[in-house]
Amino acid sequence: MTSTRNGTAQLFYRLTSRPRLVLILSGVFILVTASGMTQLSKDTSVRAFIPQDDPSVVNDDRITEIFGLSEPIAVAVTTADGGSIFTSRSLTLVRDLTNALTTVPNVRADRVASLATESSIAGTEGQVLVDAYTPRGEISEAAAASARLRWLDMPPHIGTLAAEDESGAVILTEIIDPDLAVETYLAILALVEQYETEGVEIHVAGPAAVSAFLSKKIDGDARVMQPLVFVMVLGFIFAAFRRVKALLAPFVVLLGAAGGAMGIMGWAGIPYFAITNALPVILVAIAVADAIHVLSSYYQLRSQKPDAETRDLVVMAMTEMAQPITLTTLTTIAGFIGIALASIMPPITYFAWFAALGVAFAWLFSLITLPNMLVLLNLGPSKAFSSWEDGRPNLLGRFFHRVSAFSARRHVAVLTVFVLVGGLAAAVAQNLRVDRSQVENFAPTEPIRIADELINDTFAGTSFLDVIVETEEPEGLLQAGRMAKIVALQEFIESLPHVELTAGISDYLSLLHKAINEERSTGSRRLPKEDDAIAQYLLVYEVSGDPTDFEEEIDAQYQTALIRSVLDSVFFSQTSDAVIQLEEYLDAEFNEPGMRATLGGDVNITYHWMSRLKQSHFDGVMLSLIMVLGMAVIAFRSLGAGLLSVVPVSFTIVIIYALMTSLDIYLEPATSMFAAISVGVGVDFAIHLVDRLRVALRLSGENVEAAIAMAVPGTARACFFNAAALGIGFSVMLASELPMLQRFGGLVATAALTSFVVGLIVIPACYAAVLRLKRAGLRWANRPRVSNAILLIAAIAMAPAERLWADNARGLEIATKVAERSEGDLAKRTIQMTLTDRRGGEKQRIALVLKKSSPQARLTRITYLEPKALRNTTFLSHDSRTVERPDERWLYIPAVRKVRRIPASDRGDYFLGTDFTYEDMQNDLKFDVADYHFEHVGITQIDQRMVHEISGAPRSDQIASELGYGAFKASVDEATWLPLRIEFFDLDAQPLKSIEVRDYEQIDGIWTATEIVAVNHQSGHSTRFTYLDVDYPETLPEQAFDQNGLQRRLSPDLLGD
Amino acid sequence: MRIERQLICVALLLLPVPGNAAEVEEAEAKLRLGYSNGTSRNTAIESSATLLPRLGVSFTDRLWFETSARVRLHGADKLEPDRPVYDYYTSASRPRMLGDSNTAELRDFYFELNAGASRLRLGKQQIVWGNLDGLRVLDQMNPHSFREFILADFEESRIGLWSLYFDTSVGPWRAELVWTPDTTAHDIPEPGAWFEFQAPRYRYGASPGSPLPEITTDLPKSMIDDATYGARLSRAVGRLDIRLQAQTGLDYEPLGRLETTSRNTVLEQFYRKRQIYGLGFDSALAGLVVRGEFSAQPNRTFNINEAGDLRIAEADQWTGAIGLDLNGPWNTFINIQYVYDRISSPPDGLVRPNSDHIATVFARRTFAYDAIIAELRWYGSLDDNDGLARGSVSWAFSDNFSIELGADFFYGDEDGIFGQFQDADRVSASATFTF
Repeated sequence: MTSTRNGTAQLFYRLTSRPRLVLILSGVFILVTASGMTQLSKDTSVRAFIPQDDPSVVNDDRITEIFGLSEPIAVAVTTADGGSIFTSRSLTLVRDLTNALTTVPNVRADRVASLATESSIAGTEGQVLVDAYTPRGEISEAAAASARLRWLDMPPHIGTLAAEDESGAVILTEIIDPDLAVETYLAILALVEQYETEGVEIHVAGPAAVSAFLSKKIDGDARVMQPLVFVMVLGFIFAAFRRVKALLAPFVVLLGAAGGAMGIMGWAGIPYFAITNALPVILVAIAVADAIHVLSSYYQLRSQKPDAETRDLVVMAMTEMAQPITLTTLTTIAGFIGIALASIMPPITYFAWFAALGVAFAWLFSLITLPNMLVLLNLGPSKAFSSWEDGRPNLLGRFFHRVSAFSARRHVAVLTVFVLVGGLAAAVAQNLRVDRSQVENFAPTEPIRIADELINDTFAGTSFLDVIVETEEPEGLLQAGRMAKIVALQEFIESLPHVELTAGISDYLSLLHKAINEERSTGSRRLPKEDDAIAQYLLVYEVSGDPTDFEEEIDAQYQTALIRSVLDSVFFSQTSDAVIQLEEYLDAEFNEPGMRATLGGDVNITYHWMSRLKQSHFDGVMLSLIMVLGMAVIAFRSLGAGLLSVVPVSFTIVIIYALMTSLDIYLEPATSMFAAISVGVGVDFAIHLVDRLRVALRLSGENVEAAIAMAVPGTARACFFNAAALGIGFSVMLASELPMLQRFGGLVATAALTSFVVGLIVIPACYAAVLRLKRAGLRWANRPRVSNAILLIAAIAMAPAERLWADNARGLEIATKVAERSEGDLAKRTIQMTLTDRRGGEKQRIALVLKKSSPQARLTRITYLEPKALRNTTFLSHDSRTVERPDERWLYIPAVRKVRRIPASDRGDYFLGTDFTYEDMQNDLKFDVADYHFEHVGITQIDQRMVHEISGAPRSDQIASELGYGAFKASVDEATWLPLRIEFFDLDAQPLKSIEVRDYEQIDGIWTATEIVAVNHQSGHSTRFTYLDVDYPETLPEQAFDQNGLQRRLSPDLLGD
Repeated sequence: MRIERQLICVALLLLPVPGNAAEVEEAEAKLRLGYSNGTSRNTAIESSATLLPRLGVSFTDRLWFETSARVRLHGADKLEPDRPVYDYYTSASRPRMLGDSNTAELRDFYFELNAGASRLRLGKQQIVWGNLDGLRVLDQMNPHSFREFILADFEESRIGLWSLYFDTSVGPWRAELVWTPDTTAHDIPEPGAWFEFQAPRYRYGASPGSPLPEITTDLPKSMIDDATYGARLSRAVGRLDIRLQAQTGLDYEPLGRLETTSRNTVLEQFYRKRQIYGLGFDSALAGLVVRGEFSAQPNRTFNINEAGDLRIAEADQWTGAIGLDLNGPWNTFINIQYVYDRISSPPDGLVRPNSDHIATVFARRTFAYDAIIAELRWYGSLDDNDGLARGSVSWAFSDNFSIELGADFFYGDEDGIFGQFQDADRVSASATFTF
């Protein structure tokens, strides 16, 4: 039997009235939204992480536009024995391979550069000789030797076209369409295989290849990982509930959340970024959390009430879980919004917004679709919850209880360790490295990483820091003074850390100057001092060589020049100094009226991007923590509870930072995502635990151990499976080939589990510590009102936890016996009420009470007969016992000649000036089993009678609020199942009132209380009911219980006239 | 009216007949001593002693007789100054004057025959068919006295009429039928009264304060042609209590016409019939009680000003009201209501506005086991930004004695429903003894 007792329950009864319709609508929603996934366009490039209007990106685009430079694929030809590349055989290979590369699809044939395409510059007898390094026909050893000598006189080509130690040559291949970079890379790989011969090694790498290959790897890995995560999570649900059918409902919630968010992302035209791979995973984890909590609650109830109607159990489970699920949803959304607002990277911003949307969908599906599916599935008891049949949690629940109880008992030690560990972790985390290296995203054994590292080691490097020098007027760069400044700039750049060399038009002008003036190559740049000379040199070169040879160094109007610096490090942390110093130099030394220099190149992009990431990451974490805190404070209406909710996740983040520092895992775009997910998910457990503990603390009179026994086993078990599902789901990523995904998965898994463990330990310890301080501060022991509560608490708390669990079922059994006590199908009695105020003033009332009980409803009509002022005032209630019809109440007030419907939620209001509430009047010394969790406290004997002591705690805050009772303790006579005495406590666990059955007798075989006294301990007011003329008649007029008949006079025989 | 006298005679005859099993079941009387002061003019509005006796007698298990009366003795009375004429009442319902300013009136006087789920009630009675708080959309069966505008409880201001009322239940349906031959109309304050209407809408378009011609009233008298007939059906549908209502009969609001004689111009008040079709409902939704009332009055007659003359025209009137009961903060009970009233296709020159939007908010909190009741109430016209704010505290020292203090504050333009009484603010105090 269950009656709907509150608005939430009524809402869920309404929501589950048409389960098939809801399921169809949910299916339609999923189909409509998820079909948007077909509209998703992919942008898994690294460039997508940088805002396209970022100055560094804009500059890089200009470099491509003006100088035609783009990220190349580098093909390195090295000698196996470290010998010189300048041999007939090697140079022939370089030339043939260069020619072959120009035929590869998507390769810009005119932008393939190598010793086979470039020329040396030399001077003889006033002539400038521009000679190709390799002749067209056969390359003799002599030609190779000549090429070597000329190369040695070409500083811009040393370390670039060929390694400084001559052990290899590079062919730089620019591509047309970056989106086809992977295909081009693979085609080049296939091509170079044909040219591999003994004594020569060929490697393919370079920024374009690395970038494209990384995207492909992430994508490919995620395609495998995502379904695996999905399967793992569902597998975990199965492990939690051991029912295959139990998977169906969460599965639909997962589809709704992940499909809905991803689909709307598609419909909105938001691209699918590399990081979007984590979105379905995180949504699955969050959605499953809601489902796990609901299912746990359902199975607990199912095991305790195997014969109950499924819909009733579902509604009870939803009523219990709706608030915490809503709370966690709000805090998770707040966390993601914090990340979205602070992030500078569009993919992460979109990730956070759509994660928030998905979380909202998960909430909707959990609250609407899930209960309807559970109703339809009609899930039977689960073995996993068999121990709950006698009110005892399973092994896992008991274990978590022990952990929390230990933590609460030793709260001083636990919190001390916690603070010390947190402080230590924070100190370690100070050294957290924020870094980025594209190639480090590959495993050390990955060929592309080997190739890239080899190219960086052997040649000048593959990291470029560019300087664009612009003048206001055309031919502005033909001035000798400006060119001298450029040379000085290059020399400054070359002095910066990790810079191997610089190359620009000044190098070629210097070569031309030396060639024309037949000077020896000294290694230093020498330029003419006259403005005209520079123009003349360039003219000379155009006559001697290919006029397009300088297009990568200077534009056709001689207005914009590019200085490219090659760095030997790919790490942000190592190259950022160069950028900082160079920016300062440009501002202080270089820029002048009419000429200005700005930075470009991948090193510059990485510097600016990573610097902003560093700032935005920490801003984002702080902002989302603040938003989560704000949401939790609002939801709990308590700053303390709000703060407590964010403690575990804050601690976890610090721990993860320390762990990263210790394991030399640096903060980069991928790993930075752990914080967003940790805040979003990690706070959930804390919210659930804080929410349940607050209720349990209130019900147990702020006894921490009793509260932990009540709250932790069920909540922690559900949260554990949630955290474990998330942890194991993300742990799957450890199997990825990409270290980046491994680090990401590992960190999130660690964060999820750490949040759980920290919450389990720290939250109970914090409550214990706070209550200890509170007690010390308030000297409760001196307050007599409280001492009664403490006695009750002690009675509950002194019982060992094991016994508490075992007594849940016994308590419910006793309460059910009381509820099932016969009250007659029809009853009529006259109540003589004596109301006594604290000063002893008395008021008398007489009322006629008619009751009618049926399997469908209990109808109660109370009509006042005395005093005159209240005569004929009538209260009517229809307390439904079926799920379809909620309780209804009416009041007829003769003074206004109207029948007024009154809200059922007023059941905790006092009935017409008595000390009985409407609920008391209606329930007739019974407890609604749908309203309370019961516990059996013990058995005593009173006047030779066996009396059971039971206690009850409202199932939810809302029920407690409606009833006006925070808890009760009752002494139930086993012979009659009448509660002889009930002590009620208010919402603050203070003694509120007692109801005592002073006299009772058996009338028509029905045990009937004939004198009841209610005393309000807080107001001193009391009410005595003396029942007269008790009768259990065969019939009562139907209209007496009809709201439309309340205005009609009762017949004299009913009135006893 | 003969029937009145006959019924009273029957009752008086029945009471003392030996062996008729007549038994006085309920006999009580209330004595209320009241005083109110007009704060803006610092003058006593009313000091009075009101006696409210009530008697309930059962003759048999099925036959019940009930009567109640009201006797007002005034020390000061600006509500009905001078000697009121009471020409809005039929002779059968008219209060009787006791001296120049004291009155006695029969509030209820009826026999009730109960048979199973049916009852038949004959006599002077009040029939309440509306469920709103302080507003009347469907509560139109009885006229009201506006001597205190709307400040008196409806129970106090409602005028009992001589009626035949039948109430029965058939299955889930409750049916009520009414025949009211009594043609008493609304009791409109006479010129000079404290709450004399000032708004043009109630003065046939005349501006506040402007003198009106001599007023005469032509009250219909036919017990058949001018009677009110009503029917109401009620039932519960799920959680919804619904009521359907239809009535036809006298429109209790007077119309006006100017009659010019050789000597002067007279404003004659006269009445037309009207039909009301209504739907009412209430339901409890998650801690709230929602109630609504909607009425349609097709072809209702209204006054219009046409070329300086007062004429009449017909138009449809639609009224809808929605109300919510909820529990507010600090254990308060709160009632919020909104009413929209509209004349569709209004004729030119209508003396009343084409539409009205009125909102009310009511808050109540009880203390000391309902012994102390504090209430705040606000009425506001959303069209004219005028309104009425009321506050009261009552304290029941015992079941037999209580006192009440109250204050009523009007604000807004004098053309408005509430603003017309901007100078009529008052504070009041009363003590009630129940015997």
